[in-house]
Amino acid sequence: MSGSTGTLWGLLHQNSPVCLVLYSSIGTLDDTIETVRLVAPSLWRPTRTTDVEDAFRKQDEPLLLTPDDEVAAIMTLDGRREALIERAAPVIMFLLKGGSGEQALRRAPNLAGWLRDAIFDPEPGELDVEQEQCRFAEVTGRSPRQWLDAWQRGDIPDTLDNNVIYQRALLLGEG
Amino acid sequence: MPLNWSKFSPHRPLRPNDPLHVRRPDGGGDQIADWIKAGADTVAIAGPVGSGKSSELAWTASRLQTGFVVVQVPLDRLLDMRQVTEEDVFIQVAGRVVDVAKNYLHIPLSEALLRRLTQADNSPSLPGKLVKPGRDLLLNTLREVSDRSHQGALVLLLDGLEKCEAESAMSVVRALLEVRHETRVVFVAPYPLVVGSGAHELVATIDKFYFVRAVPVRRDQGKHGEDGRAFLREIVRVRLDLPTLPDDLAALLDRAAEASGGVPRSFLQLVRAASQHAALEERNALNLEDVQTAMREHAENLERELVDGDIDQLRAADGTSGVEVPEERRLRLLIHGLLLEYRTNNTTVVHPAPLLQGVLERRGDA
Repeated sequence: MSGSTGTLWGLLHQNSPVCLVLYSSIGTLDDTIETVRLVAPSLWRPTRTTDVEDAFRKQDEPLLLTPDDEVAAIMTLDGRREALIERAAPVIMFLLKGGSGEQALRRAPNLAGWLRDAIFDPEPGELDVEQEQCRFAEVTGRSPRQWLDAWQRGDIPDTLDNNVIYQRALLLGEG
Repeated sequence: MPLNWSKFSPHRPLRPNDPLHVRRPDGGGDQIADWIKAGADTVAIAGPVGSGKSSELAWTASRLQTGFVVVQVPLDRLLDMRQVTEEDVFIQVAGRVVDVAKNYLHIPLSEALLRRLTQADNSPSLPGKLVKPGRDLLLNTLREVSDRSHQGALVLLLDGLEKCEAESAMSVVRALLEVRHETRVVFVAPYPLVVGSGAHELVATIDKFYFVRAVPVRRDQGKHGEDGRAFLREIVRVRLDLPTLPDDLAALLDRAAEASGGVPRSFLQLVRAASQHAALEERNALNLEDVQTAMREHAENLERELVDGDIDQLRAADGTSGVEVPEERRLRLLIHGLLLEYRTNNTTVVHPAPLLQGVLERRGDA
């Protein structure tokens, strides 16, 4: 599944110059960024930026790029992709799932080709929410809502795995 | 001995004389170099993303180092290819030729030329600017380097033009062809300039075309398919620095090769992703599940590049020459590597990227 912790871990440890992380709504963006920070290599000190030019200027820093104009950012990275080859740490770009930036990848073959093994979608498409809620309950012993309540009470330890489960509970708990 | 997966960098093209280079079954850079040695003035290279165009261009450079002054210009590292102009290209090419001539080949160049180059570098091109010194600067540079070098004829290897819009690439190519009498030119061209109705102009002017296609890897492609899989396995053997591949790894690589459709970068991405899944379980050796997981993830990301109507067209095109697919869509599918073109036994056949098979079976566009 493209939403597993393993995928995110692999993606952040594979030395790609650019990675893409999708978020489902602006309200979940900060949580998604926090998950990335947690799974990222411990030595990283990622910098958050909205300016795509930082990808070219700051070649040694891991960047968390949340572009104000997603389409312009995609087109810039597509047109100047090769200038990123020597990056010592990745640009992790956050795009709204199904938004104009993700759609622009269909017109950006150079960047899209690089990203085929470097996209993290915390919530892959065609989700059967009811079925996933049942599966969640089977695995954790709680419904997503109950799990979130327990998390907020501090009953669940703040571990890496539980942070990823938290993301999933957030998505499934809304339903 | 543990396998060292660290040399897998699918995004990084090989460099001239790179020890990781493996000869493509259809010749690749060796073939292009042979054409130049035989007198071809202009060669256009085309292929889908990830097929190895830049790596083959670098290998061409390796093969021409004796007997030619070879200048490789990675335009796509120097310029924003979505906003490039002829003037930008002329100045960058002139600058690169001077750099190679002066610093690597130690050819003495005139102060006047170096001064012109500095002036052009400090005077960026603007759309309305009337004085455009780039073309004359390039002519001066090519002539001076040719006159003063004893190393042989100049060959320019230009990478990155395929990332331009077709129209802008065409004006750059037209401009470059104006100086073809001063130098040999090998360039990577956008697909729309070499395939379909927009290809007539280049077909009439370019000596040779080389298509860096996906290599055949399918079981139904017989000996060609075997050769293609062996080529991709060899890439892994060289990167892992192994004398031979263990049988179990070779079998997994064959599976990844078939899933990649024969696109080397896709193949490397699949193998690297599989190695990451193994690492997650603190294993060094791959297993089938690692490869399958990598394939599933890759398929999900390929699917994101499809637009409405693609699925029906991909289904209909499977096993044909592909010409029935409307041209604009066909070119986009070919460029993205969603539709793969194979040339075997003098016949061109297209197939959808194998990892889209699940999508083609599951989804309907109607």
